[in-house]
Amino acid sequence: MKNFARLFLLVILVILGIAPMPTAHNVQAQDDELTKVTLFLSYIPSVQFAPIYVAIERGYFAENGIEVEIEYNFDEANGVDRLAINDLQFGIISGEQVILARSAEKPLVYVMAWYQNFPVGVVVPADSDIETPEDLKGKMVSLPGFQGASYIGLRALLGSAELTERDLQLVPIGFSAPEVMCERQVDAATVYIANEPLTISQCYDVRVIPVSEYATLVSNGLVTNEETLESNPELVAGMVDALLRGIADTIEDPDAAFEIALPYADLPEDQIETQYQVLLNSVELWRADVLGWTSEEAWEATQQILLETELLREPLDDLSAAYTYEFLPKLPEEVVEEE
Amino acid sequence: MTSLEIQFKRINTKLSSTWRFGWQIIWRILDWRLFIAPMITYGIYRYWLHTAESGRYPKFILPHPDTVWLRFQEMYADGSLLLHLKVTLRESLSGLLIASVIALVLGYVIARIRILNYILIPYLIFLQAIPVVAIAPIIIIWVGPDIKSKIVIAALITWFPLMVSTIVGIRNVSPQLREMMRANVANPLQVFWHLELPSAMPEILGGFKIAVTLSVIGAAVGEFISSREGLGYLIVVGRSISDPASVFLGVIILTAISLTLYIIVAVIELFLLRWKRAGS
Repeated sequence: MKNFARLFLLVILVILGIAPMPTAHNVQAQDDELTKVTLFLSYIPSVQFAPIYVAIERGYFAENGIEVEIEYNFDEANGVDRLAINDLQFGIISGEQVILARSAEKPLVYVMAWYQNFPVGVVVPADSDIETPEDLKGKMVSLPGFQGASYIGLRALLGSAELTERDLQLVPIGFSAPEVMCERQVDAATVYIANEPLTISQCYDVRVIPVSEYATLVSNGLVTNEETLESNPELVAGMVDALLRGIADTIEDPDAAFEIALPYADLPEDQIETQYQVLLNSVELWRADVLGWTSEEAWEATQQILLETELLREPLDDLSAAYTYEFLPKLPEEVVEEE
Repeated sequence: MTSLEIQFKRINTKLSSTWRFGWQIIWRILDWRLFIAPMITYGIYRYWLHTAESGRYPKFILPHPDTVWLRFQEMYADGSLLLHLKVTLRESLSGLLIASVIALVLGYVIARIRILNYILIPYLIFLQAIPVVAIAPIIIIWVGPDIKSKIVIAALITWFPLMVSTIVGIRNVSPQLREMMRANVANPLQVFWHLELPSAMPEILGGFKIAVTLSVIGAAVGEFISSREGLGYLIVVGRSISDPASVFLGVIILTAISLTLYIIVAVIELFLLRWKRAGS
């Protein structure tokens, strides 16, 4: 019996010994009372999210009283639904998804542009005779599917050349563009221009026709919901501020941003060089005179494409309710005058 | 035995083989137990209706049954539903056909030549364990992005349970009966046709019941990856344009196809295995 009591005491001591003790860091966090926020990203950990990692590591979120936890999830539609029911408060979501969501009475609001330039384009072999969107006529062009940002971007590109889907052969291939292009099974592929052309260029030299050179569309942005906007505008302002600072830092010093992003992206050694180039390509998508802004024309154009493709049945009653500039830094005088 | 069952047996014994099969089908339809599943389905429908009307979930998460019904009518009227249905059916049945040929031949050979069990099975399990999404780009490169890639994906998802059930069925053939046929100088084809195939039929048909439902899932998975037509495409687009009515419609029709194919196999089973019931 005595031995049992000793053993019991020993077990208790061991449990107490290995139980986590409150550290100075934990105590600090509790004292600061940071608001925990989950940020939905519809991709894997990647250097393309470097500004977020920069904002976390440099304490920009913490300065605004926010503790960010990132949720990586391929299913953007799931993120949209959860934002709509306020199960999530923030996500980086495609612009056209916000219009489609609002048409289904999902109260999403776009508060800040993530990419300033639409991240989709058409990639062709460098020796291809396709140089402009007009040259796509009669060609076989792949795309991930007949929905989403890639499809919208391609349709805008075709529209700029006064082409329709009937003028070329569209082939849905999912996210297999690098493999299909390397095998030269299509003449051109609709891709995300930050990373996919780099993968294809491992097979042969390529040339990219970016959608942003021919059409102004709303690209991915920070999206929240009406409930969060009304109940906690300070939180939204804090998120926007931290992300804009992260983007500005990344544009200013991509090398430092890449170093910060590396542990998050957890890259194999042989991928580091390629991914550094992916970051540099992304920097070009982020770069703008004033960060975070979208134009009303871009929203109108995006809605128009959705209507033309019949993904949207009728225009929104109030398109301007889909976005707000309230949390963005003021536009400089010269930009306002230009507009 | 109830008086009704005695009555059934009495009528059954008086009928010829073909009429007896028809009578058995009618008897089956009249079986009260067959009404349990529709009653449960009706219960689920009522629960769906009640939950949708209670406003517990917004309609973009859980659409009202009437909205789904309206979408059905719309898509039926413009012919798009029939088009999606035809495409998915063609993909799943073609996939099932290819999978059946491969699985039955491979299953038979593995069951009969024991050494192949040790050589092939690890690779076949490996093949089965690969997530289709991971090899989708290779499939698209090999067979092209058109309907063929969806058929291959349906076949890949379908063949394994069919092969395993064939192996089990052929291995369960009575060694005494096999010996008896050999003693009567039956050639291998006769042994296969008169002994192995009938003996293994219950297991093979069991495998088919699983395979038909998997073939529909396989076709839909293929359409999720890349397509412009089919019920899987309807679901993907419905999700991406915030149209839950189309998603629910796609899911309900996929379920209905699976159920119909399952019932067809069950009826075939009833016909092919009537000798077994007569024997027992």
